[in-house]
Amino acid sequence: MTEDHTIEVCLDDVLRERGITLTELSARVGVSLVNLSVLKNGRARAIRFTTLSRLCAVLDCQPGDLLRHRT
Amino acid sequence: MAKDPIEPTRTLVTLLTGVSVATVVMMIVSMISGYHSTCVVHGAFGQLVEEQIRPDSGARLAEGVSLSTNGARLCVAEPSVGQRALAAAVFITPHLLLLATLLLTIGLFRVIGKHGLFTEHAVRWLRIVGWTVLAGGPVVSVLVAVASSALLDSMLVSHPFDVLWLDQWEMSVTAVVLGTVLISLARILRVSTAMREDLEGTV
Repeated sequence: MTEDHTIEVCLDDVLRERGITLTELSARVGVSLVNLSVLKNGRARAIRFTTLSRLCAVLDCQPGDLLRHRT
Repeated sequence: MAKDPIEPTRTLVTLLTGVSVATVVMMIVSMISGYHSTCVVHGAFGQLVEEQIRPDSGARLAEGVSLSTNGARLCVAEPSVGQRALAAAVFITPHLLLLATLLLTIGLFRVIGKHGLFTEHAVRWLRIVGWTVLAGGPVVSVLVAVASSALLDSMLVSHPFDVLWLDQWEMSVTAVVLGTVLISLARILRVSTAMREDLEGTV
């Protein structure tokens, strides 16, 4: 999580539940491994809706499963 | 593979810089050695030339044809030191401005190669090149005009008219337009840089 916002990305948890590696996810979603790694490690500043849509489609989840607001 | 956005401009600028350096060196050497005579053109002498040609030369003009000259070329075979210096100011100064602009442009390309295109460094260098052209063009044109009129004045024993530097001045519109365009491009590049920074970290 960067200093600018309080949104946490829970990609790690969802990947573990689905039994998918980041490399496999990158191939299926069509986003580079580097960018997915940036997202997973909380270094992303923004996420496109197209990326979010593809992640949810591949992981069969809702955006709320991937993103959490830390209070 | 994406094409290099700076090519082929970089190659062209590098070639022109080499030619420009050679030209300036040759001009300086010839000015110092006095290899060629020192000349200046003045439009007001055109009418005097015209009056000399028509009555005595035997050359006849067909009916309806008029003779018009844009100016006479006055040359001094053995120029003094002062005249050589003035001639150098007239002929070499524009080439020095061109050389300075080309060298600054090469500097810009180096900065882009080192830091990237969408960076504050590139914006700053592009703005410097733009202002050099925008301000340098008119300044050099005035310098050339003043030196040219001083050179002409030194060649005359009697003065049939006032030698004004304004008569010799040719405003460099191209430099003003080009400099303004480069400065605008620098501003566009600044906006693009800010937009790119906004997108950094976007997945």
